[in-house]
Amino acid sequence: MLITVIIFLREALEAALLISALLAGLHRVGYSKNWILPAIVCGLLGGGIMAYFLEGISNMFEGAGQEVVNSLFLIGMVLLLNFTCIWIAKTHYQNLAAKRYDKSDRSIVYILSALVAIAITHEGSELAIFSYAAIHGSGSIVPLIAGAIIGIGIGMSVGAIFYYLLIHIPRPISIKITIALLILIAAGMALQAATYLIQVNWLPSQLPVWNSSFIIEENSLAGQLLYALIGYEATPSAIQLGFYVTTVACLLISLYLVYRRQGRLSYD
Amino acid sequence: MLNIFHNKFTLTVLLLVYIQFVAAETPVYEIEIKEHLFYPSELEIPPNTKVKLIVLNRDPTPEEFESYELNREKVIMGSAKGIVFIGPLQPGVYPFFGEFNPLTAQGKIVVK
Repeated sequence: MLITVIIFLREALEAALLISALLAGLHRVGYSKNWILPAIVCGLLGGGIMAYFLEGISNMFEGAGQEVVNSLFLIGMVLLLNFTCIWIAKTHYQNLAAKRYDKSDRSIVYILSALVAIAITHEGSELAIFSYAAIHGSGSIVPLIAGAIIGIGIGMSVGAIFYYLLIHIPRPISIKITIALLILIAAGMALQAATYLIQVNWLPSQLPVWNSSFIIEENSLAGQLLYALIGYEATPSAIQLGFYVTTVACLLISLYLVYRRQGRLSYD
Repeated sequence: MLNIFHNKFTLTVLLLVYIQFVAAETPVYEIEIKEHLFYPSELEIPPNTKVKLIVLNRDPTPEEFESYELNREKVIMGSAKGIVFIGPLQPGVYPFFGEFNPLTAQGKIVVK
């Protein structure tokens, strides 16, 4: 059952950290969090559906289907995170200018719901397949359910602690830290997408540029947390680093453009 | 004689032939999963070489081929196969495991 706990914990942790970061950002600008539960449910359904079709998916693109679909999910999430960061920045500036932001603009709800649903579909499909394997292997569903509850519970607890830490960051820098965090999360996702494509030879594979295992090992607790949150990689290749840095740069540039536009608008 | 390189068509053909040569040189290795164990559990591959690993899951239940050191993870359904490219790697030992059965499904890639 320990294996079940660990597997559910690892996947739940990735989703929980992302959700905590998003909720902290929303909390900071005072937006509602009611959309979370439906989004999670959609994600769980998506995960089940993806697991059901996984064999067929894996055979697409001459055996590269799994990686291609996962990369598409991840790149999609990067774009959604880009919109999210821009929205948080804009809303924050509007709050500062004491302008009531347009609450009838529901677009952010769809963006965030899609983000959460895709993330849970991605993690959930693996859990669904594992569950299927576990039930067929041992025949009993009790250790699976117990392990799942414990694993997800621990993941959610870590997420809750993370959320608490984030919302207690002092006011002046909290918005910058929240956005910086979301940028790093997006970059980590881009790096993961690159890794999947390298795995099926859609991107060239190269020797790693460095090995930072002497600082933080991927197998350690810190390494696992950093991997789940911002895609920490002890032995990155040049392409992986390229994806990471490019994502950070693109998000920063888009935020800067918003900043300039907001500055001009406030002179109206 | 040098004029053939000015023809884009010829250049493309030469490029495709070159790619075929390079692609054809990727060595292929097979690993089987039977009763939640890897066969072979130790696989030796040459250094600095990209290698195509075909993981054949002979079990009826799915397994996930995973390795932190190699940065690879792939779910392989029961009685199915998965293709994973590894390398180029520097000499050393790179462990991998089956995430769904990590106590038994363990192996390593030995690069020398």
